Amino acid sequence: MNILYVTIAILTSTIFSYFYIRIYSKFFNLRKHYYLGFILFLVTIYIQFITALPFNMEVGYLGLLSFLTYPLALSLVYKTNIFNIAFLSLNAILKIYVNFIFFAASFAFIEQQQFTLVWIFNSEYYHLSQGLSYLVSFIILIFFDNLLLSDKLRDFFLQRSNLLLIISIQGILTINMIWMSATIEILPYIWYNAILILLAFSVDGIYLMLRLFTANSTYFSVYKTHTDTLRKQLTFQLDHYKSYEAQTQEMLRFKHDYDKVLKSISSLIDKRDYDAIKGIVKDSNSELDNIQVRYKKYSNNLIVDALLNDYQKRFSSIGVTFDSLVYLNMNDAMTDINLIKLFYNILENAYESLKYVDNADLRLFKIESARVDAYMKISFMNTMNPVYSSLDVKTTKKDKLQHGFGTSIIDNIVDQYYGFSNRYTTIQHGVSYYHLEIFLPNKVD
Amino acid sequence: MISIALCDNEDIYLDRYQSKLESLAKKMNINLDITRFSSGESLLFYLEDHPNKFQLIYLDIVMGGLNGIETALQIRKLNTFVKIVFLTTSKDFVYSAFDANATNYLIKDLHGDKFDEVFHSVFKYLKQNQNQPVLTISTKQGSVFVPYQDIAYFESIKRLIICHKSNKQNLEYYYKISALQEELKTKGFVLVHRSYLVNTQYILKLTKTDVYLKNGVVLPVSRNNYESTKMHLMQYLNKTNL
Repeated sequence: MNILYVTIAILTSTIFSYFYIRIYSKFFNLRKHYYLGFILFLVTIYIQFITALPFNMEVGYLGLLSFLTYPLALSLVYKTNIFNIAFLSLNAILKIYVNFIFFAASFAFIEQQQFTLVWIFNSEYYHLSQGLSYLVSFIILIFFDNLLLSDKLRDFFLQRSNLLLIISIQGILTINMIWMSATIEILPYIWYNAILILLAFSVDGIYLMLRLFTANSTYFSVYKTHTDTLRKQLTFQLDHYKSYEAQTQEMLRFKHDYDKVLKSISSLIDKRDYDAIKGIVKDSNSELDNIQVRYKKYSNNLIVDALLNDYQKRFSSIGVTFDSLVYLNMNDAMTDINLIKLFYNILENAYESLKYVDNADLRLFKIESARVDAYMKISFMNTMNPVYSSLDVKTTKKDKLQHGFGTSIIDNIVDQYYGFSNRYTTIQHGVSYYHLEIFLPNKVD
Repeated sequence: MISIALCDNEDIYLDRYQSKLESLAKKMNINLDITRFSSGESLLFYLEDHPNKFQLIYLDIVMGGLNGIETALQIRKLNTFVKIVFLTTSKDFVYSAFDANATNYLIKDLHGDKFDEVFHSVFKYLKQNQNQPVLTISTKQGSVFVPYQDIAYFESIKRLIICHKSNKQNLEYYYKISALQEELKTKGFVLVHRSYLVNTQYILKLTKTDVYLKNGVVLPVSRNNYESTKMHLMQYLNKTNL
């Protein structure tokens, strides 16, 4: 029977581990040799199935090994920061341990024994409890992490405050669970076992609800940020329409005058007053130039052009030299809203960065486009103050939440259209430059 | 030797840019074969008989009759590889120039050193592509030499390698794909899947699960190889960008 239980434990723990790594790989990039971490993760789990421990080692110490090996294994699997690794490690430990205690205490209850770690370790239910624990953890993982929270976790990992909150709660719940389950006091077994079952159930429930709460609260704060961003974008669009309306009015006025001008020229020709004609033509030309000069063509796309014209004014207000040549000819046409979101976030990030360049004469922003083989390359370049800019933290703003999202919005949109981006900095003659390159599949001719 | 076409309806510009190119060639110690055309029609008429004659075409945009953009679009139907550089007096056609897949767009009298830079980069590109490097494949019938640029991708089935050429012809031989990957690391080939080694210049579109090739083939991309494929493709595109 024990062989069957060991097999169940190995099988369920392997399935759980595989899906755990796979599900979270949606949010973090895998390292090149991630399988080494995966093997370490599995070995740590399998070690706990060994019942013949050397040097009379107590089973509790074996369990504590996970606090070292899980973070190490997960660091070898994912390219991410220490906070995310801490969350992932404690998340796995808490889930597995709580479910293990729940089943182990239930078996102790059935056997009319007081639950202790030594009792379960020496009983025939040890591997069965492990197996059932991994099975329940796997089910929770699939329904909770993979389905229910799937869309919300990306934002959750971006908001450090909520992540730290949940890590603290994970820590407190784990310590509570270990403390309660590791006690060796002689207590009425019915009471103690029932308390443990109830506690394990409560910890599982509280933990799941807290995760649901934090994921949702992050999601709504992101939603609010997105709404604010959208409001800002709409304000820019509104400004653009106002300026467009003013231009149209001016054009209509010019058209209205045009008729009169032609009639005047015609009567002046009859009078052979060529100097007066020259004067009228000169005035009309300068009037026409004034109308055209307000709108410059920066792109072959009307929407992007409108946004670029607005930003040109905004950039000019802080002394930025602005130059743009955006050519869009995509294979999968980008929706207008994505186009606005993409360029708005790029321009806004550049604007924020340029504000920190101390010498206004060195404030420069340039967009270039090129057709390169099957792709379109759009290069954005702006000068920056290296003190306030860092590629690693993805943001130069104090409000990391909003700015970090700006970068992730850019990447998400580019990703959506099967493109990719590249960011780097250069220094030329003592001036630092930030470069963003976007590659998008070209329309097939 | 670089074969160049200069097309402009004004002799003054034809003379100026011919002399500019000749002086550049002298400095760079290269030979040029420059042919002058005074209209888009005459250039197209010539290209119909000699579509691959030129490696570089300098084209004015505002010309009587067919304009430079229309001419370039017609040229593209005859030759997709020739480098076209627009030389014009107006910025107004810059977006149309992209449609014709122009290498560059220069404003007459205002381009400064840019004219020289563009010529240098085109020359560098042509030189790199002049000597077609070949892969030697040992088959049962003997050694076969295949230019790298004719290979779309390699497929591995156990120890058998199938070399898929752009003309859809295949070559089969026994070899390890890992060894092939190592050999072709610097030749622009990338392992997109444990069974497929793809020539980056054939990539039309890359998604997280598939890679679409210019010859219509769609191959799977494994999760682990997506990032490295993306990096290779980006490096290739940046290298190709003149």
